[in-house]
Amino acid sequence: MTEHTESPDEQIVVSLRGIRKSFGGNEILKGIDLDVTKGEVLAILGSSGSGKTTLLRCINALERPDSGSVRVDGSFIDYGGKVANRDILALRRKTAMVFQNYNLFKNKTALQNITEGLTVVQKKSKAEAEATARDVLEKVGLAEYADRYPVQLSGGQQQRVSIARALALDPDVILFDEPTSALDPELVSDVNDTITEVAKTGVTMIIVTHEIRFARNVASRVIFVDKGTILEEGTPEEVIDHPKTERVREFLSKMAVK
Amino acid sequence: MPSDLMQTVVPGLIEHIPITLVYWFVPSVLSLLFGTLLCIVRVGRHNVLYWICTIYISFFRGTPGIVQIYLVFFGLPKLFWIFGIDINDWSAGIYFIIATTMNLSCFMCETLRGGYVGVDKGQIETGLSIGFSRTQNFFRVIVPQTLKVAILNLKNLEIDVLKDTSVAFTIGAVEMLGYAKGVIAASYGSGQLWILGAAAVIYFVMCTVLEIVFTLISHRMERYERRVA
Repeated sequence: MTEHTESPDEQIVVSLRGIRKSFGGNEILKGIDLDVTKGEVLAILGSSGSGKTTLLRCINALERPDSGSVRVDGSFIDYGGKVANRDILALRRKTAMVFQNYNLFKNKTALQNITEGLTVVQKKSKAEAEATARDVLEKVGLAEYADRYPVQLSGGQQQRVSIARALALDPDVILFDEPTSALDPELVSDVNDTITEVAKTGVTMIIVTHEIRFARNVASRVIFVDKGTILEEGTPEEVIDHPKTERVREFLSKMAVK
Repeated sequence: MPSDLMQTVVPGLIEHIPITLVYWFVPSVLSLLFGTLLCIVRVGRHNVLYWICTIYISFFRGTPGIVQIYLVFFGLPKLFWIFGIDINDWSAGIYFIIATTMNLSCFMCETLRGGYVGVDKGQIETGLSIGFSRTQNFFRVIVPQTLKVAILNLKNLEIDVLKDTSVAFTIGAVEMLGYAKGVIAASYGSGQLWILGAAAVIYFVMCTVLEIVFTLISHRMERYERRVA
């Protein structure tokens, strides 16, 4: 296991060391090391059950690793010892997450979904929060839907509001958990385009996805997770176009058939 | 119809509406608090506290309310006496409120638990992911969404509690029905159907008002489920 390192010219935003996680005696993550630098867009590929979503959820402690450590910006948690709720909270406040099922607050409008974190967590004034919220809604092309409740929006629109909510928090990293896999096929490209636009603004992103072509377009780096370890890692060209292992080749050929 | 029905009996019944409302409202508020605490234990880890609460709840759900009222009324002073505290001069109303709160907390707990189980866990994770503390998440995500699911059962529960204030007279706490029974006894039962009928009408009006209030609240809570903007 290597030590956490600080390097001024290549600023590391997210750093995982030796992350292990088991569910009911079944080891899902077998000691993952991963560094993500500022502005990087990392795509995590892998088949169902490979542990890629668990890995993502370990970053913001929605799953608590059994051991290992997580650093996000200045927040550090070592799961080898006792973990304070205060540290988890501090770490979560440096991240934002976009969920597979959008998970907009059902009882809040699109605007309120975005202002909630700004006023409650970041203690901004209502006016300031609303201005930010309208600004990010504009960015995802949903300015006129501010006062709609989630149930009055399509899946794609809900997911774009969810992306806007993550953006508004101005986190160090946005975690995407299969953001398009619950969507109707014709809505997928809207959401992918939105994510691509956001990526261009220089926000650090980690995206768990099944969509090879999208990963190929949006990611600056790709990792392939298999059986709880990182099997391949590199640029999209390296991993997707020229995979080194038979396992990744097999996976990619199956996905291409779809 | 007894000659004094409209002149004295009905005003007397109306005068006892406030105490009836106290016997309903105080246990309701206390039970919301204790029921929430019980609920937090009941949805958590199965530790010793969980089992204590579970047994407590199953006892209060599995015995008649009137038996519980008698047990508290006669038993609690004896229990306190062991510790050298004399509570014999407490009024019957206080015992009624204690017994009702102990009972209602259990039903409140289970009603809230039903609501909590119905909340989409993704909503709770979202609150955590945007940086809510556990307390913030509890009050801003879990409570409103739990109440939304539980509101119809809460309405039924509260209407029952309001009606069940009428058993308070069995330990001598004089609320509306207690007053009615007193008048009936004083007149050796003459005109009792008229008096009971008048009491029934007042209970009915109070329950209807309660029902309307709850319906308005639940409509307000459901506004975000309407698909038309």
